[in-house]
Amino acid sequence: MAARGAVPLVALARTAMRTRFEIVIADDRDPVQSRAAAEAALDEIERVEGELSVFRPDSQLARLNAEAAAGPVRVDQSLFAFLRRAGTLSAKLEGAFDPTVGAILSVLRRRGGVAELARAVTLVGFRKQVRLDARAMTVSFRRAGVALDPGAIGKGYAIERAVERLRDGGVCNAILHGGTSSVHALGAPPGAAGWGVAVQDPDDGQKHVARVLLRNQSLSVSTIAGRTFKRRGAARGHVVDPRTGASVSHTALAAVVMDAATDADAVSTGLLVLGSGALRTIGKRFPGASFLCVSAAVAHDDKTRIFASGAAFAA
Amino acid sequence: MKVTGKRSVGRRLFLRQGSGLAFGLLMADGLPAGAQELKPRPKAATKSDKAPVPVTCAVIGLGDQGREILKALSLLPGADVKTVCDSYAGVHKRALERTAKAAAVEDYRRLLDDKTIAAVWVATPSHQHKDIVIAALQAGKGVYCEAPLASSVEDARAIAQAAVRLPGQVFQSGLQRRLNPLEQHVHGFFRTGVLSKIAQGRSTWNKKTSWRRAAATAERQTALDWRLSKSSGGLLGELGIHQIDVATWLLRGKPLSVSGLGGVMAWQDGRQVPDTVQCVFEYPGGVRYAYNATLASSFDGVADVFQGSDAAVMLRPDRAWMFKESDAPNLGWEVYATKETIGDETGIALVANATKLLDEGKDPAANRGAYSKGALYYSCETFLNAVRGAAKTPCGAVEGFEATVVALKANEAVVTGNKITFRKEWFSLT
Repeated sequence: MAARGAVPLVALARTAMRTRFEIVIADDRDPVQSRAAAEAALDEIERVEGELSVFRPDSQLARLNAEAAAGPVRVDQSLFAFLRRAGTLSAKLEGAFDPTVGAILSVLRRRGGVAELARAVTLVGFRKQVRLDARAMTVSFRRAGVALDPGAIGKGYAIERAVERLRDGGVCNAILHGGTSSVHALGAPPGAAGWGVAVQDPDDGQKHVARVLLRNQSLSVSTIAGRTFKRRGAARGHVVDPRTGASVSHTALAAVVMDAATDADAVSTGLLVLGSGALRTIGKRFPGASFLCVSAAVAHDDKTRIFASGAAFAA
Repeated sequence: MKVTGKRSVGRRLFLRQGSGLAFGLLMADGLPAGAQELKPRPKAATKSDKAPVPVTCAVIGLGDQGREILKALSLLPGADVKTVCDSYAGVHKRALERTAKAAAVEDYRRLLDDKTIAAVWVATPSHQHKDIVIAALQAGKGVYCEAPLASSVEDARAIAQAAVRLPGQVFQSGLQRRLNPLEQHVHGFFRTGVLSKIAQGRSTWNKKTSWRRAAATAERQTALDWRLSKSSGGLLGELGIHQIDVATWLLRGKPLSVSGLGGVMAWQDGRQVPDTVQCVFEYPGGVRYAYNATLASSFDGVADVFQGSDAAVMLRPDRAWMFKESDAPNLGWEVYATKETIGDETGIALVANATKLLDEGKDPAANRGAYSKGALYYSCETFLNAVRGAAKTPCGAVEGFEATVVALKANEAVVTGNKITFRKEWFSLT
């Protein structure tokens, strides 16, 4: 992103949620004000990490995992709303994204056996396992061992809240991303119709499979590469089908453009798990969204490797 | 029963405090012969399982700290937030996202007139505390005043005097770290004399930030950036107060003098307060304590270190360790305590509430930190219990006033570059 015209670019970055978040603001205003707004946005991302991290025992989410099987645990309004939304997204994606995947991830992290994994799969299912009481603002699990891990949408949710802080701070034109896989664009750089973002080819980092122009939209890219679990000597992809516990291998990349970063994260994860065959169904459930699906190298024939639908990927 | 207004002041309830101090240590595998392993026990019903008495609450000042207070209150059973208040209506919506049932007002006098409100948090800019706190006390409310009590010693004294003249009313200073179970655990630990002769201490607060508030307009930002004007307490008054107060608390006595230096090293943007400060306090017994803070660099974050001839203790936010000298006496339990490598050193983890975890049938090693809901939560809980009449707050007007005087005088030392010797009358409330 090169400087355009006389507008000063203000760029800040901070490490949170085990990734690097970066904000670039291209507003025609005092850079001191832009910087303060970006700092408030990054502080908000740290706040979200403090609420949602499964690795920090003092987070509200870790507390739920420790206590919600024993009885209702009171949570604050923002976490309650987040969980309710995660549950709705999970239902619309038929469980291909599920915030209760924590039980499976926990087995994989400690390299547990097949029987353990099979038992963990029975603990997954937001609708079945998690009870939200809106009146008492409490959350409870129906069985011991249920574990929330909203990692698939954590970055998107942090970005969404950061975008609110940027808007509060008077920012009109900015782009922010977490680890380059969750991106949100506010407005556009001077003289441009939007912020141009390229989606890398999952097999060749030098190439890209798509280029999108974002304006007040989010792009989320899910791939099977990245963090892996070692299992029986073989590396397993970091995306797991919550319904079966199996690692996803049929699809290499799923990208989604939607208005809200949390939704985009959930849908790209769900699409990666479901594969290109689900594009039509998902397209109906999330009108206005654009989708891109790249089959894995071993599973595709060259003619039909890349599937796209929606305005953002039309070019 | 619901605690509201003046009606309930002085009422005694027998609620078990939620944040009891326990001298627990994290257990590790490999117990030595003769050592007793602490086994998790099944959870038994206790009095704390009973729903606490509701208290009708209000929060004045809805910036970052006000919203953090609302979050803490939303997690506290019995804290019914009825009204939130900020003179700038633009922040009402965001605050109400944390507390759906509350109403928002711009004028604090409106909520002081509401007889049903028993507890009021004041989290406005420090220089606005005085009028609000005194009016709230006069209206019969229990008042929680954020630290520092004020931006000037005179205002802080006026607040503290108003509070001590009304001994029947609850006043709590926002020295939240004193009420955090971890700090209380460390405090108890100091009392055992394990450190032996304490030689020195130091605290750091490092974060790369402009320390400016974000706002949609330049005018609003000027109003929000009150911390950058020379009438504010600066880094020492607004941030340092919490760490310096912990030093005063752990070292058992107010400082005798303070020397300071500071400057604007990174943010040459017209601000009137230094972005980088160094202070040295002299405590009774000749112990010196250094406080360093910068807004230029994040390296090393936030930490407090106290070094004694037998052991040193380091505190980080919600974690603490003890580092023993090789020639220090064996403490018996240390062989089975959990050790962690911090840089080149091996520290013994100091964990609050291990006993409580065991009581609830949980393994402390697996649940380490699970009980830390943040210092502000415990501080608000203590205040609520004081309003209920269940317990007296240990962070009253005197503690808040003394901490404010120390921090503001340290800021003065930084600004003038002079050594300041504390005078007894500065701490006087008569």
